Parts: sequence; C-alpha cells; structure tokens
Amino acid sequence: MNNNIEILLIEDNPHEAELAIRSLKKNNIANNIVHIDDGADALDYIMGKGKYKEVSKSNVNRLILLDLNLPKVDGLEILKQVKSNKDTCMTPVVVLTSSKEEKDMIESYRLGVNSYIVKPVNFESFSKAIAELKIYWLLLNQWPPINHKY
Amino acid sequence: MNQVFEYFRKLFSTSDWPARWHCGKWSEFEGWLYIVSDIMIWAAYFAIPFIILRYVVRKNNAYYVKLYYLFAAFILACGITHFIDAMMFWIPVYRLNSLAKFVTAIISWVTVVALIKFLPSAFATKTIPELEAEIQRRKNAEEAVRRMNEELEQIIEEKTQEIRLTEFKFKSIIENSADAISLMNGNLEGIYSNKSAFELSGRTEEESKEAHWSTLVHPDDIDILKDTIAKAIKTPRKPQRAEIRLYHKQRGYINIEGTVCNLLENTAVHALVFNFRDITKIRTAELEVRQLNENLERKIIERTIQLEAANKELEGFSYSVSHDLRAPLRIINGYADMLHADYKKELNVEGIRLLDIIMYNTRHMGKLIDSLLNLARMGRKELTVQYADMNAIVISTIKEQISLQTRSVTFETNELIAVNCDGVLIRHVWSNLISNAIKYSSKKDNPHITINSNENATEVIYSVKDNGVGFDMKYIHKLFGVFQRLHNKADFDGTGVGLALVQRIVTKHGGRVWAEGAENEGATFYFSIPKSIQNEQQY
Repeated sequence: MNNNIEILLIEDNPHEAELAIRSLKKNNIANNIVHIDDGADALDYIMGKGKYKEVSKSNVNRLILLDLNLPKVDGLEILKQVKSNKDTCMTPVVVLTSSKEEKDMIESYRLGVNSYIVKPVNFESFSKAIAELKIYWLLLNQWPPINHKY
Repeated sequence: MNQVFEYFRKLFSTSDWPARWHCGKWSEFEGWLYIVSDIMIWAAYFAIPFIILRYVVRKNNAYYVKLYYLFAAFILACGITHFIDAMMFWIPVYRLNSLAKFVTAIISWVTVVALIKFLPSAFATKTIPELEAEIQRRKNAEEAVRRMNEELEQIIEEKTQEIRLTEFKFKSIIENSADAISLMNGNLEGIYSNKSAFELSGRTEEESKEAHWSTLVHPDDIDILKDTIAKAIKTPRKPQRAEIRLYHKQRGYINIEGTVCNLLENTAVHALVFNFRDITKIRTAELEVRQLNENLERKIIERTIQLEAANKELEGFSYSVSHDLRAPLRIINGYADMLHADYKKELNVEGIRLLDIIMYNTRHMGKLIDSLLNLARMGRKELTVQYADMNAIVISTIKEQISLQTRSVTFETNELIAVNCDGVLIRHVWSNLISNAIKYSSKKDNPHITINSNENATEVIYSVKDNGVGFDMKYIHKLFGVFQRLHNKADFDGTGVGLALVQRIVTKHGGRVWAEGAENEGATFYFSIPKSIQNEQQY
C-alpha cells in the first residue's frame, strides 16, 4: 500500500467527516488524512495559498475526497479549479456525496472527476464503498512521479 | 240607193205583199201553230230580258254586265222578229220585219264577238259544283287554318304560362333568397333589389331610397368595393369577391361578404349583379375563437411557466431529499453502527434490540427516500423509444430476481410480443412486477408465475400472474398509489412505491396498468403499451 499518498477529506459536516475517517481507519488506511471543513480553505490548501502557503503542494501525491455541498466555495467549484490548474489537474478527485442528483454527477464528470460515489445511507454499505476506494486508489492505481514538471 | 230610200219610205207599207194567210195555202191549224208558236217565242223572249235585267240589277256585282245586256238586247230583238213574223199573217210589213231581223242579226253578231272576247274568262268561271267543291275545299282549308291557329294559340298560351311560371320561379327564388341580391346599371344606379338586400342594411324599401347605398359602406372599405366593381367591369361574367363593412340601421357596422358580377352584356340581365350576405356572426365567432385561442395560449404559457416553476421546485425538493434528508439519516445510521460496534458489550439484550430497530428503520427510510427519488426522476425523464426485445428483458429480469431468492419459484414464460418502448424504463416495470409476484407468492408451497402477452388493434398487453396471496378487489384503487400498501410490513417488506413507479412509467408511454385478483387466489397485473408510441412522448 502506498502510504505516501495524502488523503484530503473536504467535508463540512463534522459527523459525516467522523464517519468517513472512521471508515477509512476501519479499512486499515494508515495514510495521512487531512480534513478541511470549508471550501475556500480547501482550495487554499490545495493551491498552497493563504494560511497554507508553507505547506508544499508538490512534494506529495494527494487523493481528494470531496463533498459537493460546502460553505463559501462549493465542491463543484473546487473540482473545476483543481482540474483546470496545470499543477493540480493530475490530482485524482473522488466525489463523495449524499446527493443522488444526476445533474451533479453529470457536471462532476464534465469537470473531470475521477470517481463519483453516492454515499449509501447504510453504514455497512458505506464502509464497503470506502474499502473499494482503497483497493482502487491505494493498491491498484499507478501514480505519476512526484515533482513531475508538466 | 234609191232602193234603200224606197225601202225606208215604204217601211210600214203593206201594199206590196199579201198577208201571210193569203200567201200560199195555210190550213187553220198550220197558220195558228205558226202564229201561236211565234207569239209564245216572243212572249218568252220578251220575258227573258226582264229576268236578266232583274238578275243584273239585283246582283250588281255580277261579272260581264255588258254581256248580260247584250244577251238581253239580242233575245229581245229575236222576240221582236218572232212577234213581227206572227203579225205578218195579217199585216205583211216585210220591210219592217227584215229591218228587225237585220237589227237582230247585228246585235247577235255583236254578242258573238263579245262572247268570243269574253270566252277565256267565261271558261275560267267555275261551274257551281266546281265552285261548291272549291268552297268546300276553302272551308276545309279555313277550318284547318283555324284549328292550327287554335293549336298555336294554345301552345302560345302554354308557353306563356311556362315562361310566366319560370319567371315566377326565378323571381321567387331571388325574391326569397337569403342573400342580398341587387342589380345596378352601368352608372351604379339601383335597378332591382330583393327583400334580403333591404334587410341587409336594416332598411325598408322606402328608407333605402333616402340614402345612396354607397354611403352605407364603411369609409375604410369604400375603396375595396370600388376596386371590386372596377375589376368586375373589366372581367364580364366573372364574379369578383369582396368583404366590406356596411352600416346597418339598428346594428351599426356589420361584415358582409359576396360578389359583384358584370352581366351588363347579358341581354337578359343587363346589369351589375351584387350578391352579398351578412357574415358578422362568422367573423365575430372567428374573432372569439381567435381571442379564446390567444387566451388559451396565454394560459398555456402561464401554466407552462407555473409548471416549470413547480418542476424547479420539485427538482429543488428532490435535491433536498436527496442530499439534505439522506445526510442526517446516514449520520444516524453511522453513529448507531458505531454504537453497535464499539459499545455492544455495555448494552444488554434489550438495548441491542432497540438499537437494531433504529438501524433497521433508518435503512428503511433510506430505501423510501431512494425509491421516491427514483419515482421523481422517472417522471422527469424523457422517453427514448426504440425497438425492445421484451423476451430478453424479461428473461434477464427473472434471472436477476431469482439470484436474490433462496426459495425456488416456477416461471412460465410465453413468447412475448415485441413493441417499441423505452427499454430501460420498461425493465423497471418488469422488475417491479416480477419481484412483487415473487414476494407475494413466497408464502405458497409452490410459487408459480406466468408471464404472457396479448394484443389488440392499438396496443400490446403484457401480464404477470402469480398464485400468491392476491388482494381484495375492493382496495384496487389503492394499489397504484404512492406509499399505499395492502399488506403489512411484517408479512411483506416494501416501500409502497413500486407500483406507483410502474404506473408512472406505463402512463408515460401512453399505456394503462390494471390488476385483477382475489384474496389468497393470486393476482394478475397487466400493462399495455400503445403500438403507435412516438419518441419524446410526454404525459
């Protein structure tokens, strides 16, 4: 398992976040998990701006788990900016949402989302989804080399 | 000459010859026969001229009057010679006698000449039978002429009657025509107008004389009428159509429509024929229809806007349901799960039971929300109609459903009729109906499900029949309602949305859904798909 991969969880609901983190941990994911509960902050973190200026943006492979319904800057906006920035466009983004709304899904794929997961109400199913996420992104997926200059 | 002189000097002398009685030997009988005969001839010859004269006088139109006179004179003269001959028995005036004979001879020859002269015309003169025949012929001819005249008169009478009838017929037709018919001469002066023509402007014949008809035409339409008349004059016998407004005495301006036809060259009519009718009602109705249509269109637009707004609201609502309701539910479920996982040991049996109930119900609520969203999404989805292989859809659905089952179910599937439909949506219908059939026959010993199809002229009908618990027909109205269930949850799990979804999808195709059943005797669900379904059909 690629433990160098940082998992960035962008989720405004602390309870949702707790459940997600618990699920990740239950699945033995020992990677560094960063949780940010605000859309604007999250963008700053990804781009290395504002209060996250010191955090290097390029020395780590990152998987973004993104909720869509966020305060200030919503998830689709974050997705758009990540995918349209040449430094971040290769960062895989997985939308994790409660919304079964088709238009959100279509818009997300249009913007270049790597995966779109509707969180099941049932926690067990959710746990299963996280397990699959782990298998794909942390075990199977080949990551581009760090510091790759585009 | 002396002899002639001597003759006339001795004209009445009786001295030179003896009286005839003494000349020769006359018996009494011979002498008197001679004398009496001569006297009778004389008398007759004397009477005849008088008869002739009388005839001539009476028939003064008689032809050949002169000839008659000559005849009279000649017969009279002959008579005189006979008288003198008789007289000679006693007085022997031979000279006088010869003179009388000479005169008679002259008259006789004159008569002969006259007769010869008049012979041709005498020949031409008809005899009485000839005349009678002629008269008869003429009478007959006259009779024939008279009869022919009578016949002719009768024919003329009949023809006149016929013409009068025809004229009356056409006059009546025109007089009673609902159309206003007016004839005008080349100077546009009225020659004739029927009743309807006066009624058209709401005026009596007298009132119509007060104002020239052209003053009744709407000022904006007068040019239209003038143009039409001009066109009509240019094109004889071809009616020219016009629609104008005319001032009606009681009703104000009315719409009239009709034709102007130039029959000035037609010797029988010799007029411009105006044939118009009141179409105000039609125009008013058209206007009303147009206004109604406009209203309707406006209303449709309004309703569409309202509907779009409602749809937006519904979309917003389903978005909230989708996100805002699901999220807290997930959290409840998630935390309950955490409690279950981390603190199970600290809970007693009752505590765990209560926790299980919470988790079961959150899961159920999750299902409800998901099916509701599904239902809403189906409602909004546009149909993509294409050929669908019903057999393939049904077989794969059955396989899918059986894989979820632990019990064995017997399926009896007949060859299904293909139809054009939205295969993806129809699969939901089959899936719901088949899973229902399995569910509600699951308590039977040998569940048996029969799938069939049928068709009529306009639609294909599919059916799913089971031998399960069935239902009471008196609750059939609840069968297809959202969240309506006929069985309790303990017996048969379900959300109560499945059949509502089935109905939504089928009605979207323009089809129908219905069911038959009896309690504990199974149920049959039917749905139909119209054969003529089009793409993008919206209901």
